[in-house]
Amino acid sequence: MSSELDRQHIIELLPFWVNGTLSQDERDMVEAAMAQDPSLRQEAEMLSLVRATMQQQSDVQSPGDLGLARLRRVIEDSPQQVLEGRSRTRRYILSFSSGLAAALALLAVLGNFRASEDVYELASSNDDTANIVVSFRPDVTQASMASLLQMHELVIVDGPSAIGLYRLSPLDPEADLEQLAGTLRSETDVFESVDLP
Amino acid sequence: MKDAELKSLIHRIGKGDKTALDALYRQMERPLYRFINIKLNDPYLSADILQEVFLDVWKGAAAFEGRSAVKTWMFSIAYRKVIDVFRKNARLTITDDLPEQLDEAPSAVAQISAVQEAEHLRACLAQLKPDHRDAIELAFYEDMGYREIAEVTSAPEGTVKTRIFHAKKLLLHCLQGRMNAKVAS
Repeated sequence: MSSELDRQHIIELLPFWVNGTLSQDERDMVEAAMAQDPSLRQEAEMLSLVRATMQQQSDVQSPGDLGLARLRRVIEDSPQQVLEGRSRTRRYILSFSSGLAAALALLAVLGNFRASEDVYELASSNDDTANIVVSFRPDVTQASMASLLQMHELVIVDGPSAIGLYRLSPLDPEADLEQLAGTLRSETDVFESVDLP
Repeated sequence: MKDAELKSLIHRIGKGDKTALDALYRQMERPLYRFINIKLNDPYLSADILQEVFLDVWKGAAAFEGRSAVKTWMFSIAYRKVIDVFRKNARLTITDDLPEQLDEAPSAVAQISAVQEAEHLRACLAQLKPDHRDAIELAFYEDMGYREIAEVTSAPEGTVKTRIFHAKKLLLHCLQGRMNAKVAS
């Protein structure tokens, strides 16, 4: 063996040679070292003994079937959230919208962008009457915006305008815009203004 | 059960298959519970943590991308939950400092005799610090490689090797001490 450092490296690998998890290259290296150094072989035998004794200790009394029954009950009460169909689509729309909002906000800050209603058209309606016009507080984070929009099932369909206004549209066409606008107005940490056209 | 089979179960769980969750529970319950309870030494709390692990698996299976082995993923969840318990109860001391120990070479004969007595081994394992014990338990009881242990414990691979090196050294000294005491008495 070339150095003490190499020997230390082999010693550190020995437990993993014992449990059989080394790569072929590492295994070859350890076995070559053991062939030259009987003390390494002795240490490996000792570690094998430790491992065997540990694995013989099988006195654990786990929850077993009782635990499984309990788990089943809890799962019945809190069903798994599997995104299917409309929900999945909605998630994509919301994700896209919130990401776009952040990107547009950045462009607006740079002063190189002036939004126009015919620049793009997003997932929801382009009917002005189904929109709420808002402006966000300057210090609001993208995460807060996204969270609030998702909570109220809203998407950004336009904006920012030259003065930083966004048009929001509910995913549910039957949503009560007056009520929704009132709810948004109470979110004073996020919105600076909330108006119905 | 091989990792590919476990991944197949996770895939089915992700689609809401409760029978797959039952199968995974039967496969992983005992090793996970053992791992948790060794650290917490509280069967009731350990059963609660075990349930939380399986609930996380149930809820997170659809998002599991299969980059880790299933066993590694589940032990990682369990490890993080146990660490949370320690943090809440201010029981955690994460350190790799090696306490001062006798440094003479242990007698091989005494070690072999001691290792073969499970009671001595259990007592000596109990004296190890949590990070040392985790590493050696995962290596020798769960047969994990150092890369897997590093993933479970969120520690660098080199740290895992060092922890096992220290754990082994302390373990063997402890075993020798117990055998010497037995001979003297």
